Amino acid sequence: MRARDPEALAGFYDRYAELVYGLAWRLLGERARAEDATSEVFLKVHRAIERLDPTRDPAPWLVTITTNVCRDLWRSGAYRMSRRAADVDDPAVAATISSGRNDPEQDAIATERERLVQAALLELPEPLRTSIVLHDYQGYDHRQVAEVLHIAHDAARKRYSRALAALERKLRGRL
Amino acid sequence: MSEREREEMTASLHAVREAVRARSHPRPEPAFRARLREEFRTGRFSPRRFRPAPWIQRPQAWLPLAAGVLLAAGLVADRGPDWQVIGAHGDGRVLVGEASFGAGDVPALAAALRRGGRIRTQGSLTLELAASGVAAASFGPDCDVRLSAPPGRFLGRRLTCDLAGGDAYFTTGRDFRGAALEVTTPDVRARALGTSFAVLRHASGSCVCVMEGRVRVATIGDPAGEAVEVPQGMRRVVGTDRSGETLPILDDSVHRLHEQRAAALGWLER
Repeated sequence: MRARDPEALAGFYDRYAELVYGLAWRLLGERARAEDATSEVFLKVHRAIERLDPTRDPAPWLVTITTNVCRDLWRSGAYRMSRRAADVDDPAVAATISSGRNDPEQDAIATERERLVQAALLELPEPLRTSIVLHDYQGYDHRQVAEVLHIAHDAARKRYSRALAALERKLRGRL
Repeated sequence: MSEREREEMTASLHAVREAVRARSHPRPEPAFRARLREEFRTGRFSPRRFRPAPWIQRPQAWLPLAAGVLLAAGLVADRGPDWQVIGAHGDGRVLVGEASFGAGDVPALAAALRRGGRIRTQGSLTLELAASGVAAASFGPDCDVRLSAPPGRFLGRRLTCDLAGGDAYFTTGRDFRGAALEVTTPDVRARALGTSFAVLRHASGSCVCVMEGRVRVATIGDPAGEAVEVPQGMRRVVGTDRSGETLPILDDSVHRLHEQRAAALGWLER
């Protein structure tokens, strides 16, 4: 990897591309922006590959880079978020939303539920949204979230509680 | 929050968390995935559509500047009025620091005195100053005084005057409310609780004459001496031997304070 061997790089990409893209999509709520962010993350990784510690799991490093890139994207003038609902009409996303029962009505409900959750999530302030995405989507515990966000463990826990309460207020009576 | 509400809230939070966790895991489109894979593998990336905002466009970059601007704006907003020269009567000169001014040189004198400083009157000259709406001060002949800037509007609400010698007269205006005025001589420290008083410092000692309101007078260098509150119409005389007594105010001081108040009235009611 550190010697930029093409096959090693391809293997790395195959292993982590979905992690980066999924996280970016959850944070940004849109396919085009998630693709931009993913491209940016892998460009940064390529440039900083010599800093990669082969003895450690690169996932937390990638999550940190992705979170920072999404934050930059969020703040950049050209990509100012419109905070609109997630693009669940996107075939790539819609195809992944299924009740698993081969039931169009259940699928419609699941799609609507997905749209509501994603829209409410995108309405949260960036720090709260990141906290929910890392904890509930990425599956990180509060200590890992604290490390990614460079905040104290207690602060990460409290931020998550606030984020969940804020999301609950937005979704109250709608789920 | 009642127990029932708490339970409902917990159930509701649980439902939201489950809804978040149940969301689908979006996957990149195959074409995008393949293109980026090739770029990453070869190190030849296509031109970036997104460039991170330069540091100057990031909010953190502006925070120190914004804080500085706010601080500067606060200081400007807090700044009280300047001292204005409303009169210089008699023959003689006024020294502000080391600069010397004649009685007729009011604009230059006013510019030098704007924020106070060390003032010495020479000859028979009397100098009258006012800070719009806040206070007026008058310094008689052969006065040696160090006067502070008028009090700020919100912070630093304090006006101090160190009187080494001569006669000084003070009257406060309506905007002075809540500020502190302290006049110190080698013998006494007078803290104004009222609106119109004089502090006279001569070789025999100091005298604080109160025409209106109250002034708390402490004898300097008196270890047991507590401040004496001098009511209006009275004066506190403290000799160089630190002996002190409270007596009725003399007509001359009343007259001078009336004169000073009349001269400064227009300024104090602004």
